[in-house]
Amino acid sequence: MGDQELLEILQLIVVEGNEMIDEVEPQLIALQQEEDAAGSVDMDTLNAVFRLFHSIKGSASSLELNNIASVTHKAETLLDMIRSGKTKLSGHFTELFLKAIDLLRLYLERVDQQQNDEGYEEERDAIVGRLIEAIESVSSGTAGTGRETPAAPADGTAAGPGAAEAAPVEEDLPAMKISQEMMDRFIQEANELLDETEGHLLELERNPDCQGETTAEVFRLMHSFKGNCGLVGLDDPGRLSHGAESALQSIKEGKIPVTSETIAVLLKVIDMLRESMADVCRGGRGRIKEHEEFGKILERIAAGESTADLQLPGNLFNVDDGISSVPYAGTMAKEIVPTPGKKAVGNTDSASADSGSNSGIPAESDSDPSGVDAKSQESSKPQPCASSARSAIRVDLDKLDVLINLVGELVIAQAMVVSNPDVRGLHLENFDKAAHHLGRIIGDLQDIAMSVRMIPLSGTFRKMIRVTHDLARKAGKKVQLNFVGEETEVDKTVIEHIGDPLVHMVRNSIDHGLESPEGRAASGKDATGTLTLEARHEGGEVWILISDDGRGLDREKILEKAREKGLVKDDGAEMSDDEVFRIIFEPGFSTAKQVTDISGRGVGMDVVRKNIEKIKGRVSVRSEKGKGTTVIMHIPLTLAIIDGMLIRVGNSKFTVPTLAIRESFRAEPGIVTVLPDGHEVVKIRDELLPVLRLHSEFGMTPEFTGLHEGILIVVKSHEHCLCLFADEILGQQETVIKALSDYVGKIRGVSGCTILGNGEVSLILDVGGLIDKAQGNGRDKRKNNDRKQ
Amino acid sequence: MAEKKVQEALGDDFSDEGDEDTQKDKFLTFYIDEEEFGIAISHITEIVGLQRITEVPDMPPYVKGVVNLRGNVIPVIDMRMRFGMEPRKYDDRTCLIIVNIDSQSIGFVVDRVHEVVDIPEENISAPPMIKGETANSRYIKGMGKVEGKVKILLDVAVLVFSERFEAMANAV
Repeated sequence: MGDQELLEILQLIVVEGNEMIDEVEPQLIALQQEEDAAGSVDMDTLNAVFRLFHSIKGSASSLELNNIASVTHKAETLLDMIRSGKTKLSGHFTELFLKAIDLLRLYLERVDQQQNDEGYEEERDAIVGRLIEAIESVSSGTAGTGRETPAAPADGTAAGPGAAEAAPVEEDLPAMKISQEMMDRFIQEANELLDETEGHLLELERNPDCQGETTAEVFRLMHSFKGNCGLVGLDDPGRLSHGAESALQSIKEGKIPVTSETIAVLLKVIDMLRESMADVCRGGRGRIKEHEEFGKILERIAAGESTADLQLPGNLFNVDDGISSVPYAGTMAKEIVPTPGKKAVGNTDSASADSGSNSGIPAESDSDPSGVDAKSQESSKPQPCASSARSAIRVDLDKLDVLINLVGELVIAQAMVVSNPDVRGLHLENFDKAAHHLGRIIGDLQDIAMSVRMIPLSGTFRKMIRVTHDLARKAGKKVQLNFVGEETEVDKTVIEHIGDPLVHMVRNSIDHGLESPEGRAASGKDATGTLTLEARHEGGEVWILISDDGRGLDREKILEKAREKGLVKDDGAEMSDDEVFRIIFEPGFSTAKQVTDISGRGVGMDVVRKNIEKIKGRVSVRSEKGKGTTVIMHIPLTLAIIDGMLIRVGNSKFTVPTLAIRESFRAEPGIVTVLPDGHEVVKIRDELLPVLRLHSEFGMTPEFTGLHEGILIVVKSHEHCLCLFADEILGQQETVIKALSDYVGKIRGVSGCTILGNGEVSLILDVGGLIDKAQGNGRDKRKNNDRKQ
Repeated sequence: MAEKKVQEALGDDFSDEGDEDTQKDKFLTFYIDEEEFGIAISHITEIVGLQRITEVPDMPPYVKGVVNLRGNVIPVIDMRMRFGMEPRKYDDRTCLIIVNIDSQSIGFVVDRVHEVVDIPEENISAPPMIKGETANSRYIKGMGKVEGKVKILLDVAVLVFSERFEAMANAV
């Protein structure tokens, strides 16, 4: 197969392999917990774990990724022993499987980067060795009871490239519940595989010269299909495809020639498989009436028998008009030979023309309607059922980015039309109506565009299961992990950036926050600590909370360390809890007495804060000594478009994020007080708020200088408020955030800019930054004053 | 050091562009007061009439702010102020020359734009040492002679990047 194709296939394997691992790893851990607690395990989950290894093994061996194949093969064998009851899942085994999973992850990464699975030989040998040990200890302990495990191929070369297995697996799989989603995905993929295979087979027939590559490709596709059928427990398609796979292997190895009959047989098999998929889609079990018959034919083909000798079923070459087929005699095969390409091509061409409606299905099965669902003959297309399936389509991320950018531009352009100076002040009723309508449509478009990139947090949360498991073990603590609101969706970029912070915080909680079981018991707490990951929408933000019920933050300890490091000058008595807790985010800060290899170096929280700030979010901490700690990540819901309030300072227009505005008002001359240090504060309903004059802050000339002449806007960030003084409020509008150019760099108090309806550029105020600065000033000033006195 | 890098970068640019030979000798000339300057056109993306400039705080004085060019927010430098001259009231002949270097777009405010001329290398002589203002003279690539008149040829890359270093230095 072509290099590009190979590359794509490998990438697909990497992506899918990682997905499967992510899904199964937490299940494995849950299994172990179940086993410990109840002495038995859920068979469905166990089978899912088995299927993980089996499936990866399949893909790996067909691509000659032998290292991966050998590891997964051994793991699969051991798992099979467990699920057949020969032994129980022990903590030791679970650790082994987890280690195997880790190695698989490394290999997948290697494949991703270098397109092969070379390396890590030591680790591989170690794990394979231990797995073999385990397997042998189990099989020696139970002599000949229960089912024999499927014959393991000769060792040394576990799973040679493309070795068809001795027996089709999963014949006796207990009935298992496959989720509808899995089934839908399976069907969709299956149909894709079948379509591709068909295409290749046709090509193979037209172009026998490209045999080598194409055959290998077809073989691989059939192998995948077979593997997938095994995953979801569909016997007939599995067996049939297994037969096809064997035949293809013989072709691939050059043992038998490619003839039009072979192709025809294979094409017919494809059709039957399609049929079967359609049946599954409708809720059936995918039974194929003639799979035994064809299975035998395929076997004989694989063994090298000339197709001319075979008694091919007469309905092989049906031309499909939905007409019931006329049984051809076996001699038909000979008649076909002189014009090899045509008939078969015609067959499948019409098949494709009818988009896969069923050619060659024994329409004459009025005699025997049992096997195939009678309805299927009404040329229902074997496609994923639209009703229940949420059909999905893979989309290039770049395209999505372009789409979202364009939607952003559209919003700006709309503003430029609707607020155009040319129409300002005119009363244009129809125009206004139309503009309003336009605005609504664009609003909807915007919502959808944003939601396109949203992904539920559950995936990220579930990754923490393994992390928690490992860390708890290492630290010798008992941890119960809970999830709340994991279905909350966030933008894809957010997902990418919170993974690491989450891990850091889980580490902190387990390592520092939660006490040891003895410590907890001594404080009257349950020996098992609780760690809760929660996600919810709050205002225009997504809040992700990591709470533990451990020992909480020690204010004094933090202050002590802070003084040591010179982060705090005095005894910090004036600092609020909030401010003290925020110190832990400073780089290099840690109150850990010892640096364990998990944490304590003081790197974690700083990284957390930086990562969150990268996505324009912020972190805050709540804690109560002895009770526990909660770290909250506040992440803006949309990164690109916010609701903004336009204000004017002199000739410049600024935009304030509406969410940050608490209220606005005109000051009465009396309510403003000037402090000795020059700062102004204003009294609002028992609150004293500092005033920030925007014109002084940004060095501009305002229209008004008296506080009672302009307008005061109360903004809020974290739990602090500030009063901004501006000349006038101009109105509210949807703002598309544009970053200021790199050349300009970072500006204090400004978080970006936007383009207004009239083409002007307006700077967007960074409320949090302004408040921080104001507070910092206040603190310094106060300190100076204290010292003066 | 930085200059070397800039020269290298420029060198790379030249070898990249296909019709570089034809572009190499072309310069856009513009006026500041009565003095005529020239910039190699290879980095110039467009020339626009002056638009409304939005002030940006915390910038060196010669960075007047940013403008909106078809949806792109581009920082703008007043060439006069960069050279330490007195700023001049903008009139309807004041133009913005937009250059693009290193994927960054910057605009320069100039009094009047003149024309695009061909100045072959042999007509370009090395920049003279200007007493006192040695920092500024770095921006001068050479002196070009066209029909007896001398135009001061500016090195755009140095103009832009040195700006940045200066801005950084100022910020510190």
